[in-house]
Amino acid sequence: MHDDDPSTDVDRRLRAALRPPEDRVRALIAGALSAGPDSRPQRRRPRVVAVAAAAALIALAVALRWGTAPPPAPHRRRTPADLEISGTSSLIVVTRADGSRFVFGPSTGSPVRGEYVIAFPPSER
Amino acid sequence: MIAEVAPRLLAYATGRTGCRSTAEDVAQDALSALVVRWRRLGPPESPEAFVFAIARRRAARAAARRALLMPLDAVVAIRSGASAIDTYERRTELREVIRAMAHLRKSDRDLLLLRAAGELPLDQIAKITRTSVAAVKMRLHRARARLSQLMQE
Repeated sequence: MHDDDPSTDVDRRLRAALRPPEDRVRALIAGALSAGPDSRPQRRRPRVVAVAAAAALIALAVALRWGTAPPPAPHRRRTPADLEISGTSSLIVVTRADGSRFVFGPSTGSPVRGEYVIAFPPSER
Repeated sequence: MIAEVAPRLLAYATGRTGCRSTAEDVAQDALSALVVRWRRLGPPESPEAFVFAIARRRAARAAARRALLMPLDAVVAIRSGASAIDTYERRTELREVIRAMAHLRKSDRDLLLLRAAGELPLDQIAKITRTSVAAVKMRLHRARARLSQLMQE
């Protein structure tokens, strides 16, 4: 204590009252010097084991949860529609992938006998 | 170094816990930690600050546990190997000191014990208590004045 704070009567009285017995000091020193390198970790081992067990339990729970979950649905690739439907006034035009078209429209009544119906062949793209 | 610091550490722990047997446990723990650290990694930067910082934490825990069970000054262990009169006088003195210190602020009591019982330099106390040397000096002055007054009452 070589600084600018001299010891006072209070300090001396306190020190005298708290001064430990010699035999207790000797026992303390002997005990401290006999402390092996494993003395502290041994005392902490139960806590480490508990933490490890809790972590393992959580990992197991997570693994089980993921194991029972349904597999993710396979990604389905969109394919272009085989048919394309469009409309013009009262006509509906259906176009197939190969380019052929079908035209639907309202019935125009029975054709007059003796007349012809003209059918258009599928147009080429 | 161990032999030199042991009695001061034990005195400090006694003042902190108010019980010789609890103080021995606290001091033993702190000194053992220092020995283990020394053997594994070499000496700490300041062995005194190291060992007193550990004792301070352990003593706080021990005192809190003990406070739940019995009054601070109810148990003062009998000094073994001493005469009955000496033991009685020492025990009475210790009881009075502990009773007077119980009226101090907890932080001031800790500083005074580190200084008077632990005999640590001001800069070490400042390091352990994480405060400035000026603040340590001011609080020590206040604690001494208050304790002196309490001891005369």
